[in-house]
Amino acid sequence: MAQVTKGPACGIGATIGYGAPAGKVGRALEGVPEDQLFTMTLNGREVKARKGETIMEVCHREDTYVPHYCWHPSLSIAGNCRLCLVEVEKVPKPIIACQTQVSPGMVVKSASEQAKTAQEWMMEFLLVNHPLDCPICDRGGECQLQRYSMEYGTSHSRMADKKRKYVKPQADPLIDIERNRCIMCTRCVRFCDEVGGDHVMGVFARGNDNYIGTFGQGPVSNIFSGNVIDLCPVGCLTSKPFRFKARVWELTQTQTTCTQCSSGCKVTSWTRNGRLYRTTPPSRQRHDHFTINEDTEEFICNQGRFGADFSAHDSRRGESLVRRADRLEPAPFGDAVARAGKALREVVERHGGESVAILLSPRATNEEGLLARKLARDVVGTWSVDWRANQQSVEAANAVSAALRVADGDLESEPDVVVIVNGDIAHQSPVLALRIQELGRRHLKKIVMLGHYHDPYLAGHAAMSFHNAPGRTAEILAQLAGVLAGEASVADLASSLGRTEEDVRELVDTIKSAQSGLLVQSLQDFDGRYAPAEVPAAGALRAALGEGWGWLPVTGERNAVGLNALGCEPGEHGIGARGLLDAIGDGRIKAVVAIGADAIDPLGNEELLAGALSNLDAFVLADSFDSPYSRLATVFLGMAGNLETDGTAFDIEGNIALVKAGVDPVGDSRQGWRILTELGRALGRADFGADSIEDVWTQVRAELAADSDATLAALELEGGTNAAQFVVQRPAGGARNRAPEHNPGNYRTDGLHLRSAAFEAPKAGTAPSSSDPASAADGFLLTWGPHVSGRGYLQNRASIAEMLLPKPFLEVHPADAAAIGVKTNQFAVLHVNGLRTKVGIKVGRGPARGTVYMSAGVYGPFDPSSNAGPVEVRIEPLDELVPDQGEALIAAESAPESH
Amino acid sequence: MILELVKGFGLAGRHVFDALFRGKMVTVSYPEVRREQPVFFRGRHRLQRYEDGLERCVGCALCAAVCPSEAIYLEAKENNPANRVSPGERFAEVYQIHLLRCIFCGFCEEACPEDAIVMGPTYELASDRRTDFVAQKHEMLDPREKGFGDYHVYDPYISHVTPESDKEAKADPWALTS
Amino acid sequence: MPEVAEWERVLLPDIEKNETEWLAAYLKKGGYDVARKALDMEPESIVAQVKESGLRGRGGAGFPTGMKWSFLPKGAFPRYLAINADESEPGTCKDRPLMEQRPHTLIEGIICSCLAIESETAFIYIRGEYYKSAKVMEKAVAEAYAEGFLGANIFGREGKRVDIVVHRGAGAYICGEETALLTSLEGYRGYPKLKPPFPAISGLYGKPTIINNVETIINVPYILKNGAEWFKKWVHERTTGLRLYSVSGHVRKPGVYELPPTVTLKELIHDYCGGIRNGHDLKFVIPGGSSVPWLKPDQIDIPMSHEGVAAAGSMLGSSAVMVCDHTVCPVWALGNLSHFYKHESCGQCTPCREGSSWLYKIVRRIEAGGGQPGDLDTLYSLAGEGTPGSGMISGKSICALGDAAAWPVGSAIKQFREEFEEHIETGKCPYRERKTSYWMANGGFVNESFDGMPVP
Repeated sequence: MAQVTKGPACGIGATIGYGAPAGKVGRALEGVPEDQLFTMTLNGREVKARKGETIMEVCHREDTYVPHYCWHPSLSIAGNCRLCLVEVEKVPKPIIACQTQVSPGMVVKSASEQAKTAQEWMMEFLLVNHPLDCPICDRGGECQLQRYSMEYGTSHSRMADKKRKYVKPQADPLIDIERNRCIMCTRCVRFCDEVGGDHVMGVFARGNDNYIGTFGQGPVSNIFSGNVIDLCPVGCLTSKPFRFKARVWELTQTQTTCTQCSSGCKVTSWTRNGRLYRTTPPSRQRHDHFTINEDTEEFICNQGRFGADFSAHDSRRGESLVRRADRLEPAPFGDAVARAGKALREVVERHGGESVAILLSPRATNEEGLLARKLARDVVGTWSVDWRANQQSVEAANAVSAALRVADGDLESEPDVVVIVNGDIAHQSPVLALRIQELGRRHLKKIVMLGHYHDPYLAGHAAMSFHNAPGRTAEILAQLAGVLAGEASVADLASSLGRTEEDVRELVDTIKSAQSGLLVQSLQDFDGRYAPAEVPAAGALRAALGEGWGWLPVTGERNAVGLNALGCEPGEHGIGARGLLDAIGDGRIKAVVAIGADAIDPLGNEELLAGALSNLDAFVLADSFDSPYSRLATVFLGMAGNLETDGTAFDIEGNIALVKAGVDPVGDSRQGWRILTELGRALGRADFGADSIEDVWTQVRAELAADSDATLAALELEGGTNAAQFVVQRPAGGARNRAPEHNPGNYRTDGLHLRSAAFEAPKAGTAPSSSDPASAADGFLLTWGPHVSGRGYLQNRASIAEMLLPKPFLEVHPADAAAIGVKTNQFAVLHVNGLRTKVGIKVGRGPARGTVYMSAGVYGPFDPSSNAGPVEVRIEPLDELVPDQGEALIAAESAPESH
Repeated sequence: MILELVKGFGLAGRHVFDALFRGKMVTVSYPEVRREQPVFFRGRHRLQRYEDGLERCVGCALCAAVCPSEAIYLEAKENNPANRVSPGERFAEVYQIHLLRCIFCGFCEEACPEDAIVMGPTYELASDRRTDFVAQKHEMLDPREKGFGDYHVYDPYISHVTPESDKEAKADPWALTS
Repeated sequence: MPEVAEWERVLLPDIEKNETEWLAAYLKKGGYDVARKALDMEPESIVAQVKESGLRGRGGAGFPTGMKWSFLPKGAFPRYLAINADESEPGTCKDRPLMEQRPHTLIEGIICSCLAIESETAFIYIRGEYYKSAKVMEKAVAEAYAEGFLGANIFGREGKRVDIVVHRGAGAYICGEETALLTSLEGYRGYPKLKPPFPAISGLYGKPTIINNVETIINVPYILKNGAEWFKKWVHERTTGLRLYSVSGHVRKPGVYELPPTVTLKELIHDYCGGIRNGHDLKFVIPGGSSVPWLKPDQIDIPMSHEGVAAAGSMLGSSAVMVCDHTVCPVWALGNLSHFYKHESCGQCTPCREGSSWLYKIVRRIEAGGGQPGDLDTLYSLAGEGTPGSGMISGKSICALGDAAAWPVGSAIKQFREEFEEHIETGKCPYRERKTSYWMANGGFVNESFDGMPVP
């Protein structure tokens, strides 16, 4: 049984929703052995400190603010801004707090005359070359330099000479670099080196002429690059999409949750007049006003930051439409919903309730999910309700559901070992990958990679990695489980992995010796053929790993965990999303209700879907956009878009968070739960649904955590922090597997397909894969990864979707690349099942030998879902290079104008 | 009581006498005659330009921030170096002052770091069209061209209301929504 | 010309010939005997002997070498030895003749030092502009390798290994700072590292590292050969051994002089270097490389030891003496020095990056006639009195370059306040009218016109 618990509320670390609960900053001293602790004096107060801490860390824990620019809790210590100079007794000169380690009996004065004078001097130095153009600067109002110059600076400048000036480069489409304002704290450089992982930013030139920039004048290419905007304490790096659009103090801040992937990051939406201006990590109350915390460890990905404005797309439709004599005509919402009810009632009367399917967008809130399930089971009388259109086959979808039901792991417990199977996590659920990376980088936990594709983002932090061919992962996992249980030999596993026995023994020892661990399994594969075998194998491995371990299956779907827990799945009796088109074809489904067109969009290409949907007797679509699907609808119900919906959603680790409307729904559109309520009532159940979101939440709560009395308001980020956040925790041992009795009695649950946690594992040594690994000579096996910024129904509608779309590439193992004679940045023709496309090659160790990895954006023409059956892949090198984006910009090489 | 009455009438009579015969007239025959306003008079807002024609306003929104009646709305935009509007990086693309909300306190003038917004001598603000009370940027930048400047002469015989303008006024909601 | 006392010359006996002493010649003189002897010595006894000799670092800071060596943590291996041959301090030119004329002595010193600190790898970080030095060192190292003096099993001794890597810098003054040298060796930008941890604890690649100047290391074999007492023959207070004094500027005979620390600055300038050039008077002396406070003519009767120069309010530094005669405008000279520090600041930390260029801008403006009444106060508050820790820059930066940029400013103003005030009051440089030659003009050395100077 799930329970609602109050999160720990101590220190700054606890206020951080994810990332680094045990980060360096504010780490509580509870549980630290006594011999590690000692007392010191901070501003005349006796405080406890831990061995190895720096003065800055102690100050943070003790709520003593020491000004700083270069120091950041997530990044290495640079010590170059010199602003955190504090006085330490018995040291003749002021020393920097960020780097000096505390010692017993140390007497630190962070606000003494000496310290204050030194800080004032450093502020004067920083302002020597900083332009006085705050009115123009986009950082104005949330600038650390502005704030510090008021708090720690002098009121006048003695600088009478010419200031240093740089030519402005145009390097990145998303990040504006204005070097004149830079104070050289190098936070951005360290972020790209340490968190972004692409080492693309650097310091150029020397002395007072130095400046930050990107190598080759190229863009800041990593998927977290937008965070350098928040990290920048001055107006040097600003957001191009947001630049000059509004002043920050004019914007309304809504603490909500990102709806784009399963990481479920807490974000702040900044709106004005019903328009979303920007999305940032949660703003916090600091210095008497809410602002982005420059020391935030809550990094968000570029898709969440820049791609959240899809609801404002030109195709947005606020009103409802009703089909009258083959024409869709605008209608008031009430009329439209009545018409939808009538159409559905007719289908139910004529063909029975089972002929209706209700499909949900995977980003539907728990409230929408619950009401949709109730609408299906209780009102319409159908099993067919589903959210899993993104899974590539019925079997894969069932495997995902089964995995989510028994998953019991999360990163918050800081496991000693993280075993990643088939990771392409950075592209599915970027911030989850970032947090795994943090475990490796900051907390020095071990990361082990298995499977046929290894996430390049995490590979650099992996302690060890073992590749295998696609399709053999299940076998490897089963063998590993056998070795751990003492049933199989290390030698067999070593031969399966093609590695030495020593390597494999190290792997086994690492796993065995770990106190706690986490098995992270990516559930996405090329056409859904591997997951059905890999999920049971991983489940068996999880069982073999035993106590202290957890299993975290990863999909990119936003609310997969919640919708799965609420039973929004067809089970054995119903028809799921993946079987829908067939069922429509043979007449089993006569009516479809889609809550969000992204509930059906991934099922096939437009033509295929249009053909199927036009055969329906009734097609009720609740969506926010004009689309090919809206034109086919019997009734189109205008639904609230992103940031217009209230509700709750789970992230992939099972934490619940509030999705909060920041603006009113556009035009006549309604929130999804309201649409479902009205639809249920139009179908003749006057008591259906609820009249407020709070009421729906009460119903959701009753299902998920019956003994909880958490209100929605309690889930809200209170006062700009989520210190009082309530977390519906994932109970250990797969208890999230919702048993039928938790459902209110009047709903039919008897046939709902529920499988127990005990999977039947494939026998070690057998090869359950449906396709055999092949060598380069036989052509390649194809894997692909979904991308949070890839081409999708909603992603395409973001205002700068094209900029977020990653440069498409085909990743080839170095040995294969040598065999076929391709190099990184060379063009090649990729042949897949007779189709072909030109694509840039990237040579890397992500895929196993004999496998190629197709990034998002390449498979557009191929549409993996329509490529059932064996896939023939051939690569034909071209004598042409991918143009380097940097070269064109080299001409605009930035150099100081004056010395 | 008689004494007070005499005193009162005497005062009034003295002023009538002064006005009529001693040239101490305090009223003027507006609109034929207009009073000279002091330089610090806070009348209708004007946006200034540099001598080369570039706008002084950089769209920093400090006027909007300081405005106690929230009468100023603006949206800034990045300058195109080929076709500059203001010397700096940004300029005000939209600049509106809601004159019905404005209390003519002059804070905007004081807050302006570029001396772009000043309060002019114009005090003739009446109109019979609601949209007229939302002063747009071009009206404030070039008041003479637009008829809102120093030389604007009130003409009671020309009505601002035409059938077109009336319709437009009804169709166009207040530009200032906040 | 006055008679001068002739001193025995040990390090550079034949400096005038400017010939490289290759391996054959060196072996003929008994080269590498000391290294062979050192193989049989306990590392501790080598360290003890160096400590006993009182050898102090010759790079500038004058830290006792033996004590530095003894800071290495016990049992932490590998250890590295880095030889600082990034001799970029203006006025200093002593390591170059050492490397170009006595490369094998240096290698022998490195072998002895490596044996002392139990290091197996030594790096020679040579200043980028020292092309010939690097070539000579590379050839000498190759010779030593060929003879089996370097590499595995040196001198045939099983298990003893010393490797030398000759590395050329890319021409950055900051890489002469010991931690920046290490960062540069590691392949990164030459940024000084934060201290602590000091390099002796965590240096190159995070391992214990000793960084010594060329002149320091080259003294080691002589100490081991002749004993500490021999080295202490030349002593003034705690400064021992013969030193190389690089004298430059307006003296008749500038050059590198090998003299004991008891020699006075006056003797050095007027006797050994032949006095100030024709018809001119001494104006000021910079006694120890460009970063130290200036001395006026009445302060030069001091022994050229660390203690002697410190007593006069300056520092011996790298014992590079720069002499200026009365044709030199102190404001201009200071501007030139400030330009050097502004140009060579690595830009990592705020006070040095912003302070050094601010200092330069103000001094140049004063020199160009744009001085304002508050400028000297600003300079004073920026640079302080020319003493460690005073002012806004000194003691606040990561490494000592900030201090080095600030010290000359404070002392120059202190020594020549009237001239600075004259510049500000009259709005012009009085020296310009004299049309005399100028010391150390930017880019050239003498007779450079002012108009060629970049004035901000």
